[in-house]
Amino acid sequence: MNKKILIALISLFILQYLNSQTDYDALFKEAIKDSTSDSAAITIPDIPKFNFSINGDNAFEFHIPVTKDHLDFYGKIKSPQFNNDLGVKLSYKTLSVVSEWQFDIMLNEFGSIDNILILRPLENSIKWSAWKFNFGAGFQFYSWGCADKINPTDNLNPRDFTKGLDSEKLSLLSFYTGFFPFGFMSIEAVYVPFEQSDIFPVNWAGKIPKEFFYEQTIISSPSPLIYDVIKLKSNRQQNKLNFDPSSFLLGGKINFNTKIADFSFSYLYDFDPYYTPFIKVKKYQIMFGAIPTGNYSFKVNSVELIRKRLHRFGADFKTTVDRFGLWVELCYTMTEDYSMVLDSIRNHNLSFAAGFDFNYGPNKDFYFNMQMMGEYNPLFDKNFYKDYEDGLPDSDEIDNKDYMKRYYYRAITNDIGTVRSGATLGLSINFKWPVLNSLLTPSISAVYAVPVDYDWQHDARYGSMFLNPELDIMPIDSLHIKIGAHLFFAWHKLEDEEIDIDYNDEIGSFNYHNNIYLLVNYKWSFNWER
Amino acid sequence: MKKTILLLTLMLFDVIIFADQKGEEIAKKCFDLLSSKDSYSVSTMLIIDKNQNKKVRKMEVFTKDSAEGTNSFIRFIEPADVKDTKFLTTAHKKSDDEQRLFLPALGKVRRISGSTKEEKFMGSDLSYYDMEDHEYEDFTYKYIKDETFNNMDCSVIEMYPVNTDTPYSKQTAWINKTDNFMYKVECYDKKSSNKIKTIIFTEIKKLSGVLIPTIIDVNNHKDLSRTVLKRDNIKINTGIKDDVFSLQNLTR
Repeated sequence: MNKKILIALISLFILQYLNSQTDYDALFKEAIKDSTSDSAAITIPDIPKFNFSINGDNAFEFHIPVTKDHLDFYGKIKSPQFNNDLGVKLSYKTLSVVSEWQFDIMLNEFGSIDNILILRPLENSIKWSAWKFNFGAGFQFYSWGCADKINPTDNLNPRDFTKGLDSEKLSLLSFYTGFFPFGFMSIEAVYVPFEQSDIFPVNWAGKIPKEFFYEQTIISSPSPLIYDVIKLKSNRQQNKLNFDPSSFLLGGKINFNTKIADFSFSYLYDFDPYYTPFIKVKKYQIMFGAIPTGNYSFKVNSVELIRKRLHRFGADFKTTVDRFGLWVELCYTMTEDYSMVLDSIRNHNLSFAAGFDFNYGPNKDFYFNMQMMGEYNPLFDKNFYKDYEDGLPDSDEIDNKDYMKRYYYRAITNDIGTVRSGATLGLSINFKWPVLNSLLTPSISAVYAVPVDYDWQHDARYGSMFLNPELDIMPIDSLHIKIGAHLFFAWHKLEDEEIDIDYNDEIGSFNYHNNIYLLVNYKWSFNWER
Repeated sequence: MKKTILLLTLMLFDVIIFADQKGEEIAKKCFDLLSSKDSYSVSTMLIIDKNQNKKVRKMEVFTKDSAEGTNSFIRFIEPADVKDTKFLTTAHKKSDDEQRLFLPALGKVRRISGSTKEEKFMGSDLSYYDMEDHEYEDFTYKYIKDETFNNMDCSVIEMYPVNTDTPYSKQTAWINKTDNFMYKVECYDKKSSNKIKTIIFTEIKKLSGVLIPTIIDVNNHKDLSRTVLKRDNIKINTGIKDDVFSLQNLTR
């Protein structure tokens, strides 16, 4: 089986190599001559209607670890890997069929094909245009929002967060309709028959303190929307499709593209990518060694981790003024706790991005982009450590079921949803300086985010940073040799402790994976038109 | 402030004294040549840098005249890096053209700044300004001399842009006396006034009475680079539908 795949891959490489060697020198030598001819009699071929292409994107990545005590090659970020995207596209007039696949070979650990080969569908769809409609069915990618990379409204496709902050989008089995009644307006609708979840490099069950449990009970729920604690220990199982029609997603977007600006409004009936706990408690007698004390308390009997529904309302706006691009993008997310009074469900939140970009320098070749982004979590619970000294319940109340239940919910609900502050503000910048006819392109991307409105006396957080300096060498078209670094940091200071790396932070959690990398990437394409 | 007013007055005076009747007549005949209402071509650009490194860009180009100017739709075919990237320009007379880019890797339409006319088009020696359609009224003209160019008897005129948002201080054009077509243009830098570019229309074809340049050779004297643009499979006045220049087509 593997041999056949290898032979097929080699054949494809040979095919694309042969077809990429068009002799352009000869073409132009023949063409560059002084002539003015009357071509009225020349037969001109038709505009091509049938197009077939085979496309490939191959990249070898080697990462050198740089974090002290983590000088290893484990994990999807640091392991040497050969990533291959291969696909075919066939189009006839306004009908197109695309089948693209991702084959990633990782030198992670031998002995199990699961840990060496990742095979994933990319775009696998049929698209058709008729009159003022565009239709699409199959595994598709969507891109909502106008901001740069960080798009608060772009929530349709699930993502793979295991490869770092710049998460890969996963293709989404879905149906798409676009209606373009006027040149300046369009309406889009997306239906997803069942929810397809993100992949996180996190054991969510492991984030729940073991001390909360009476016994580490496991719940197996018949509902496909409920995951038991044990299942969550495996990321692979976590991403299993549940095929439940009631877990559908539905989204719509109205776009306006005018002379002055482009703007859009969107709505998505979505699932929270993070779990919400459903806690059952059990009364038990506190023992002093083997001796019953006659005092009672409540401990967690079980936690079901549930994916709750969300309503996402989005808006974006982009315009250009002289050579500047300016944009704003907002998303207001409503949870099932509409009045935001429950401790068992997280509150609504507002995320935003606003920025500008422009080109400058010789021939306006250089690029600069700056963006401010953030998130606001209204009525964030920042008094946990004020209400519960040292994070422990009041000893006079431990036999009060409601008090204890509330205590457990406040301890778990926000934390498991990565909500750790009332607001987060961040700034990202991107520079690019292509020189020597794009032979060399040094670039820097950086993000710095700082939390505000949280319990800083217990855990003072100094923000988190992602830094990606890179030098892209392009000796020939479509061949890139990139040398750079992925650096993740987040700093915090717990009460009575020294400043340290904050591994609970979304950016800081990747600190183990800081690396210097060498990436060789080649894209190729074979086209046939009639 | 006084200096600025003096400078502006001198510039205006310059434009007035540069304009002459003979130059205007020659230019008028050139701009009045029959042009196509729409066109389709597959264009291949060979870009040669000063170290003789070569790069090729191949694209499918649709254009169509509207009351506001010329709309264009470009789909890139090569290199693989930019394959299926689409570029839509919607012309406006009284404001900047709307330019939108479709990036297939992201599946995203991006509105981009339309006023960076000096920028190189796809890394070539042609700027976005060079790719635009220009009107007779965009310049004032001055006749210089008669000269033979490539065995053609040509009139040489200087063209001074009326608007200041152009990359050139002036352009010198060689116009064939027989067919009134512009066969060679030299472009002078707005800042330094040095000659920075020579554009030669090397091969011209006549389709349905319209003269169409099919090979354009650009020598960049500043960067010491060269671009040759070759247009194949040209079709004109085929009645290309307005839908081609739409967002629906951009996202298709």
